[in-house]
Amino acid sequence: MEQSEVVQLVTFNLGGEEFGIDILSVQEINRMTDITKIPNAPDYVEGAINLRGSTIPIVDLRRRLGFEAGATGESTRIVVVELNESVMGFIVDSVSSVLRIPTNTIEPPPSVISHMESQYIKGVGKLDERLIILLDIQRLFEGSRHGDFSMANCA
Amino acid sequence: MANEYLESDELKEIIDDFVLESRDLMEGAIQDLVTIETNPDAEILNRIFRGVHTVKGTSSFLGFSTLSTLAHRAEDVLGKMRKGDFVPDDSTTDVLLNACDAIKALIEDIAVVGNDGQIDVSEILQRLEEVNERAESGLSASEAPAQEPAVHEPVLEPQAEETVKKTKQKGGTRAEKNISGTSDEGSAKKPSKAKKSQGPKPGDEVKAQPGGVDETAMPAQEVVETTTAETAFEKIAMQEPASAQTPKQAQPAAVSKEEQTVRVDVKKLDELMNLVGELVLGKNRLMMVNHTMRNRTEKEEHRLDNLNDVTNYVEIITNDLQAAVMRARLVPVSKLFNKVPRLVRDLSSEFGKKVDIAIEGEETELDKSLIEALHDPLVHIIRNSLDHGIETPEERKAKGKEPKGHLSLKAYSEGNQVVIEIFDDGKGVNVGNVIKKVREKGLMEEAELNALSRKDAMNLIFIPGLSTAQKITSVSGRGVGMDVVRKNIEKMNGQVYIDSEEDQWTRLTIKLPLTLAIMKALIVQVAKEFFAIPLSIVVELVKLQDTKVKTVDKNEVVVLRDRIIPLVNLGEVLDSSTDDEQQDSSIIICNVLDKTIGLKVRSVIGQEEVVIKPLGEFLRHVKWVGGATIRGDGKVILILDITTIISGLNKHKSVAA
Repeated sequence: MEQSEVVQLVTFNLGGEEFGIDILSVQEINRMTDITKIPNAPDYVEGAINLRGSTIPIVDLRRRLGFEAGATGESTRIVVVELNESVMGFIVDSVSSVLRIPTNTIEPPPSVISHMESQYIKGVGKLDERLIILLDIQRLFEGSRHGDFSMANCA
Repeated sequence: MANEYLESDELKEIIDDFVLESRDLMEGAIQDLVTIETNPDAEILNRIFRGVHTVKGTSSFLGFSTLSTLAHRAEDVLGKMRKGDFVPDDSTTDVLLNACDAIKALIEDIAVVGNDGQIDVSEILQRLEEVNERAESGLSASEAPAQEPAVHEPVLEPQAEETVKKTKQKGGTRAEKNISGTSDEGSAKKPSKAKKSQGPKPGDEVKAQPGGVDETAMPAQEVVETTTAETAFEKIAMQEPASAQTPKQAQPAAVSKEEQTVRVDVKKLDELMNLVGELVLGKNRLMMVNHTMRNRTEKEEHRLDNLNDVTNYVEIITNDLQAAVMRARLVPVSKLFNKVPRLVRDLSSEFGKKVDIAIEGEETELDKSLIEALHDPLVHIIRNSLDHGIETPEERKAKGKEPKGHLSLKAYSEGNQVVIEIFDDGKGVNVGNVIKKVREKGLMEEAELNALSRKDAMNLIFIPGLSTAQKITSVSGRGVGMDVVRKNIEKMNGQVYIDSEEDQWTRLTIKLPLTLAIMKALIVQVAKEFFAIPLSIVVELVKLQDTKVKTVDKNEVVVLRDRIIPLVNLGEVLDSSTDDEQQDSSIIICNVLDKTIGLKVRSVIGQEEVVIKPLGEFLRHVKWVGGATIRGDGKVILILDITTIISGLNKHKSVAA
């Protein structure tokens, strides 16, 4: 990696922590809307919404990361990401900003981060006093596609 | 070699066109070969010959030497057949079919990897050569010059219709002369050499008028016309008989038809269909807005008259547009059925059976994607029919049947559905055996098993566990992978069931919707949520208070006009929260898997045309949901997959028992 390389992140808050994902994977950020429940889906799947004519699945990121469920408020947002040509959204407490951080300030994930499932963490970025947890959305949603779902189906 | 002169994009386009065209031609040739085996027909033979010839010509121009050599050899054999030099027997047809298969495989390779060097065709070449030699040694008539034009005339088929009538005359006659000079046993190799020497002559005249180029001898010149290669080839092929021994046939009609069709990428049609889908949703929304406005402002109704008119107008146009786009995607089932004779031919020799095949209603149309998805199930069913259904000639004689078995395929439209029937006069299904198997395997409760009607029991062959068992023990009757057949058909929102008379016949009936993208649905409320149920399975709606719900063996049933219909409580199945006190009020009587069941729902909202939207890769595995749609108010609602719900429940019950 070059010293000068910089990544642009969209950062958001979730359960008091600040998270970041690569801006290139973010398609848009929406306000909370009506979400249609999907029976038989895993519990972290909140449902589906209509995004300008296509239906996209919505994941409750709190549940996915093993946080306690939180209330939906004014600042709750749906972050829509594009992942391997499929589009999906996840719910966050609030979206904070777009940040540029040099790649060399990103450190590998510590072995234990509070009470979170650390396998979904790409690294931790530092910017001044802030610590930003970089999420690996690829893994976040890929794992769910195979493993968890077949389990859900068996029930 | 000519390739160097082409831009790579252009070349790719040419190759793509070539692949598309050749694929069609070879598929046609395979069907035709099977046809002429039983009904020799000079015109059909000509068609096969022209097809193979075109593939040969273009492939040699494009530098696919393996392919062109193979096509060339096949063409030699076909040329001899065409001249009547020898009468093909079964083995000749076998060799030719194999050659066509190999050509197809090479074409697919070209489509994927861009060259034809992956497959070893030496064996098939060898066999073609043997047939060729046999044909030659058998008859010397081929040496007679009088026969020559028949073989050589492809060489002088440069003209693309109107473009070059002049050239045709000049070049044509010259070529003919030249050919009769070089006549020998008629292998196309020599004429092409002969042509090369005189090729430039007509070529010079032609240059100014693209299209009039001799494809066999002067491949390079074809560059000029390859943009119109598809049609040009057709026309070239069609001209051929005029100058040959075959008198003019009904070609003009075919020409004009050709001009009225356009090849469109399916993706473009999909796009169009999606847009129409959006439009339908927009229309629904408009209708909903119109409706609420009218309710709200009854006094000022006249003001809304305009809105009302517009809404009606948009509704009508949208419906027509939707129907038109849907029709554009429809393909006759002959696309599918045409492959069956070949399949039956191969299978009957594999299983040592004699089978007659009849096809009816092949003009019936179905959505292209459905045609494709139907291929595997159909092959499976036919395989089953020939393997387990139709008996060997000896067995049949012993039973007093004709030694030749009979298989028939029939397609017809029924309302918004297309029905496909596969019938055979084989040994049928032994219901007793099926029940015995189910019992042995413990796939169903005894009581339930006893309560089944004969027809229901027969349809048990579609149960997953059963089929595997039969496959292993190869006990009489069918069922090998029938569960897979059913699953595939249900994926298309279709249904399949079986009817049979033991030792007499078996009939499998497949019912499919016309299209996959848009369907009529019943919108219902289950607990708090709304769901869509495909209208095609709904038989009737019943108010809950009008009918009595009883409990039989802990299962709810409803008695309707003296019929006992099992009930499924959708609220329970879907596990929607049931914290409010409101009671279910309606029962939807459905026909699923040839069974009648009732679905208990809170209320029925109404009938709506819904556009099926996939839930996406992420939620693809969610059970019981067939997709989603967007209602007039912009909310997403889920389309229930009733068939899986019901079969899932059955399975669950029997497993639990």
